[in-house]
Amino acid sequence: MKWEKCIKFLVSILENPDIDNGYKLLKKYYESNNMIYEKECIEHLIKEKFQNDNRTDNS
Amino acid sequence: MITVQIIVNNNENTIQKTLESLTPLDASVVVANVGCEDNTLSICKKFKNLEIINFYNNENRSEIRNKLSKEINLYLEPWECIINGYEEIKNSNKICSVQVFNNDIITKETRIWTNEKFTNPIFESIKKEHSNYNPKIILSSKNEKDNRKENLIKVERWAKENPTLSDSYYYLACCYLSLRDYKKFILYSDQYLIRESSINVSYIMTKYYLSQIYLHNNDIKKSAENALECVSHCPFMAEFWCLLGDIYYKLKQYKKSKSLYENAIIIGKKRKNSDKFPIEIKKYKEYPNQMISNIKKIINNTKIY
Repeated sequence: MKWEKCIKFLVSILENPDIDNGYKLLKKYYESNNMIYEKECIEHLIKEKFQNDNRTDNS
Repeated sequence: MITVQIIVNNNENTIQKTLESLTPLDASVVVANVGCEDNTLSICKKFKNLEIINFYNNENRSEIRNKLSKEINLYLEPWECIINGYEEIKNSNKICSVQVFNNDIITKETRIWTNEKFTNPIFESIKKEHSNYNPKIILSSKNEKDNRKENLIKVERWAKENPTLSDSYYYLACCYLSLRDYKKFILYSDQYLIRESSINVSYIMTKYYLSQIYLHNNDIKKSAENALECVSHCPFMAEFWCLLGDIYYKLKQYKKSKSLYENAIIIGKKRKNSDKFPIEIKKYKEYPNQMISNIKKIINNTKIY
C-alpha cells in the first residue's frame, strides 16, 4: 500500500529531523503520486529549513 | 433572493446580534422555533422580513432544514453572526462552504445550499464532497449554552436507529470527546474508523484527536501511529507537525521536538485556505513558538546543572 511507503519516509525524518534526506524522499514520493499541494509544502519546508540555513552559514 | 434559516431554542442572549448581522443581506429570514420559553421570539418579531414557524423540540433538525428550504438558502445558528462576504452570499447560486470562526478554530462548513438534502438529525450536514468553498464568506460563532449532554442523548438515539452508518459512530465519538469521556471517545472512534470507507476530513481529524488522547494516556506507540498517518495525508497542516513535536517533547527528546515545532511554523506559512480541513490558529505560530521557548529553557537549565 502506498501510504506505508510515505510513513516509512516520515519515520526516517523522525530519526533525524535536522537532516534533509528524509524530506527529499518524501517530496519525491508526493511528486510521483501527483500530490502537488503536498509536494509544494515539503519543497517549501526543505528550502526554508536547509537552503536558507546554508545561505546564512556562508554569509 | 437568499432565505436565511435560524433554528431557535431559548437564545434571547444572542439572537439580536445574529439578526442585526443579517441586515446588510436584505434577505428573507425564517426562524424555526423548537420550544422557546424566553424572549427569543419577541426579539425576532422586531425584525422585518422575518417569519416564525413552530416545530416540536425533538424534531429532527435536518428535517426542519429540508422542510424550510427554498430556492437558495443559508443557515446560521442563533449565536452566530456574518462578519464578511455579504456580496458573495447575495450572489450565491449553488452549494457552498464558508469559514466559521469559533474562538481559535476555523472550520469550513456547508451553510449555503439549493436543493441538496441535510441528513444528520442533530449536527445537520450535507456531504462535503458536493460543496464549493468560498473563504470570503466568514461567520463568527460563540455559543454560550452547553448543549453537549442534550446532543449526546439525541445522537445515541439516532445511532441506535442507524447502527450500520459510520456517521453515527463518528458523531458519538465527537460527543464523548466534547464531554472529555476519552475512554468512550476511543471506543466509538475505532468503530467509526473501521466503517469509514474513505480517507476524508472526518477520518483524519478522528486520527488527530485519537493521537492526542493516546499521548495524554502515555501510549506513545498508538499516538505516533495515528500522528504519522495524519502527517502523511496532510503534511500541510501545522497541527500535525506540532503533534509530532508534542510526542518527542513527552519523550524528552527535545532536539527532535524543537525541530518538529520549527517544521510546524515553516510549513504553516504555506497552508492554503482552500482545503476543507479546520485550522487551529494557535498551532501555526503561538503554540510552537511557546514550546520552542520551553525547550530552550529546559536545555539551558540542564547546562547549568
